[in-house]
Amino acid sequence: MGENLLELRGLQTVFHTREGLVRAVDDVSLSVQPGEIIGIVGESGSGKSVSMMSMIKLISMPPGEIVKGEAIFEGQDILRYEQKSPELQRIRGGGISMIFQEPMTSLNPVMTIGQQIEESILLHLKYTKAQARARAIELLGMVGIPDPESRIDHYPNQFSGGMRQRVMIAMAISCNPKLLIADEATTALDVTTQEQILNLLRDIVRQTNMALIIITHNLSIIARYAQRIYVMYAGNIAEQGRSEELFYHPSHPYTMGLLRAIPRLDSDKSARLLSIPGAPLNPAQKTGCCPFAPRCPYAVDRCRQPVMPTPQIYSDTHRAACWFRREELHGGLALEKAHTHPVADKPLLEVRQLCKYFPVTKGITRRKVGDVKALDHVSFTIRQGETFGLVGESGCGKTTLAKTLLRLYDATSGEIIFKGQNIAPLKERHLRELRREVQFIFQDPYGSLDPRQTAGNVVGEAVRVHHLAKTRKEYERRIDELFTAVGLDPALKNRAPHEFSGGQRQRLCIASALASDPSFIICDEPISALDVSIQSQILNLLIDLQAERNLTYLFIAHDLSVVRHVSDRIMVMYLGTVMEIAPWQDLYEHPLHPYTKALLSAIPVPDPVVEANRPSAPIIGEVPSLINRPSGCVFHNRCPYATERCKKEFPPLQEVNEDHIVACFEWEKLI
Amino acid sequence: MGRFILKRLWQTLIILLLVSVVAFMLIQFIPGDPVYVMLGENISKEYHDTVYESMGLNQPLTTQYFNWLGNMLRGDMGYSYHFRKNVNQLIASRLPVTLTLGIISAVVSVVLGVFFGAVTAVKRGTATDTTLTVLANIGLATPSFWIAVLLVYIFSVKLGWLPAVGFTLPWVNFQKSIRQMILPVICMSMGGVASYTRQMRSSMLEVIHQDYVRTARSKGLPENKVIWRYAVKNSLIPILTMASTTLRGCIGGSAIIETMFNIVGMGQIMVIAINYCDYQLLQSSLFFMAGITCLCNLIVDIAYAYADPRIRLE
Repeated sequence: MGENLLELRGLQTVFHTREGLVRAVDDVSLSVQPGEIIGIVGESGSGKSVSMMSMIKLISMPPGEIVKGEAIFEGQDILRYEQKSPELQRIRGGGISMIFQEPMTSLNPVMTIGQQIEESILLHLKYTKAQARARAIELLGMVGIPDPESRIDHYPNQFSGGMRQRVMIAMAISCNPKLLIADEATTALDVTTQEQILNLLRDIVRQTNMALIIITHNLSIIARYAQRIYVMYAGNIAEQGRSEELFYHPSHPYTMGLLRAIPRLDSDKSARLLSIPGAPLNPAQKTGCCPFAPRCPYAVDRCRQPVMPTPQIYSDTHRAACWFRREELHGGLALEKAHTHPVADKPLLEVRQLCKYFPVTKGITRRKVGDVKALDHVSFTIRQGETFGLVGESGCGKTTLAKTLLRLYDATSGEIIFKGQNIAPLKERHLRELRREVQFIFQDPYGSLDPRQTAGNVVGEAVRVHHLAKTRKEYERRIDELFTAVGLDPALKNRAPHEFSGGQRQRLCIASALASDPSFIICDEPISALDVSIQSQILNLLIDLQAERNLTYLFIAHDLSVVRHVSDRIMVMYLGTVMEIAPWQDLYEHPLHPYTKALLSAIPVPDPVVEANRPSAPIIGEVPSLINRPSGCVFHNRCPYATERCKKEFPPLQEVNEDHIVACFEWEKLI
Repeated sequence: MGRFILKRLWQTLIILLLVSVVAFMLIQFIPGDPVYVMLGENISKEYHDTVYESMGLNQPLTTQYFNWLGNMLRGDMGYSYHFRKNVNQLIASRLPVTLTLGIISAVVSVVLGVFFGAVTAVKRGTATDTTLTVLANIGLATPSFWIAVLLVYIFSVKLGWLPAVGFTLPWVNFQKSIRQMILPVICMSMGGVASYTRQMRSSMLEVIHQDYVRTARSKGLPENKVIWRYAVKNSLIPILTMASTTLRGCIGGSAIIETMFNIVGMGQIMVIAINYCDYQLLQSSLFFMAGITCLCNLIVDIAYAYADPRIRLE
């Protein structure tokens, strides 16, 4: 073990808020060596970002206050420096750089990217303007911006999200910092772009001996890239250790819970996900005991005493903040079998050659100059009782498809046959029955509930609209029943939606979708806005409800591991067209389309050894905008196997074997 | 950028054409004979006929309109019967007065408003913020004529420091001009300073929490550069929208302030044209003001596109 580049000791950051004192970071110690990649994992409110931002005083103070702690960076305690002191300003950007989550808003929109990178260089290095510009061009080339000489004078809005994140990286490494902190740097990006960005960061670390701290909520990413990991919960470090130690011998009940709760590309689908009950602790409600105790299946009286547990030490690097050694933590968590649901052969929904084009207009007269083909000749069938998964990256038409099926958009052409009737041409007044039968759950449980209605009203709306209860008493009984069905206490029905946590709100959304007793539910990214430990609760709930109520799901998500866990058959879409449809085992074990293969290889598995041995087939480039849709096969410009034919002709969907359909000319050669 | 300006110019032309039709039709809506309405009933028949013909009222409506439009485009704005002068001469003599006062007030409003707004946002929640915000609210709620009366009473009547009335162009007598301008400029810019302060404050508070400001701090920029280069520059974009109104105000002049300080400027022209039913003057000055308004909007739009590449690069 060499000299530490950074050593954080006993950092404590609090926020003085109206609800009281929030202990956002509570006695956090960690260390990083040069050239090392470490990961900090935690859910929202775990203090992972705040601890890093406190270190270079990027939090707003007040209300924030750093109560105590030391941050020894290159031998000096940087916490001593005032927030606006020149010493700290030299370290920010010069010694420690940060990349943030939102590439779309993290760059100044009124300055060119060149100006923004040069500004950093001129600030920290003794360069002339011309040298700074030359360096900026070199950096842009290094992070993979094509044609950097001309793109340096472009503004941020002329770049895609992934490209902007590359610009951020170029800026962050421009002054040769010793430490780079990537704060959820890839969370907002598509999976294939995420892989490219993280590979880029890893290569930079290898070349420059810079240290990298990856802050994320995604354990799988960490397994692929980090050497050591800190798991944070409610402001404390719950467990720390080398990657293998943590993934193979998790020793804190929270880490164990997290690892069991996330569906993996290689996990057993027949077992129910073991979810962590309850919701993450709000640091404002900390009492001084182990913060995980209220959700911990092993908690005993001692865990609820207001004393933090003394860490159990397993090796030089591995320790867990728990009263028990991991050998003592067992029992009570037997794997349950997942509910199975019967799938009929009869189709419930048949979509034929469905197109949805949005016109592009120009000029004052709004003359039509073209179409954005959000859905282009999409065909598929969903059988009664099955879960049909739909995956794809941004712009693939997932949400447009959901809205068109719900008839929130009118289809440009094509048929939507639901229970034997083509609903595409129906007038709104004939859609009443469809509106009862087909329900939906959207991604954002915060935006999709009316804040002015009580929870009971929101859930009961469909019951009222469709006159499903005859008396007041029956209505109330139905609401109570719906609340119980989604695991909420009916006593909460008079509360307003904002009084519920994220996971509870998504339960409310599910309850209101169930209210009209539908047969078909479209779930559009139902768990991606939720905390990791909550996601499995909602997935389990959806699976249980399906078995109980004989529901059919269209399950839309960008996360292939999640889709794999719930789906019977899966459709992969790209830029508004269908690439592949297959039963789940086939798709994951024998993917045929190059795009499916690329997607699968881009998804990390939370297992460092599996990760190290997985073949990586990264695809180049990013998802193009729908306006610049490539001709021929829409994927040809990113496909490593594309031929001349792919550039000109669109490959039709071919049935390879029963149920497995692929749109590729070359699939046979690729097996 | 060139295409953007061309597009906006084209839109401006269409608006001006519509305005010209409305301005021209006004005179057609006057009940009775416009000449009698304008000059009174007790003029001779011959005089009436001369004026009637000189105003071209005997010609068909479309001819009248195109004659008038042609004259306007050639720069001939007609004759004012009240002032007994060409409208051109009238505007030429009054515009410099109004412009001088207006531009100075506009600059004062924007500069002070942006400065105070930025200060209140940066010092949010402190005594400075509270004081300035309260003052801005008072400034916004107080009518300018009341302030004019108050200031004249204190500084001219009681203390005798500044003249109460009159106006001299700065290049005629600089010292006198400055002394005469102080009070009217304060009155004219007070509302502007107040509203710019409020607008800038809320705009800054929004920008200061943006991710790119955090990025600027994370790369070690000194705080003053973070504020001026990142926060203020981005906050100015919504401020520009307000600038259009201010710009128009400085050319249109403030009838109230001009009357209070007995300044012979543009603000009075419209009032007189309406009071004395001076239709040609009304028509022409209306069209002139509409033109100026369009021009100001055009300038602001271009400035907007210049300040925000997201608009320029659409």
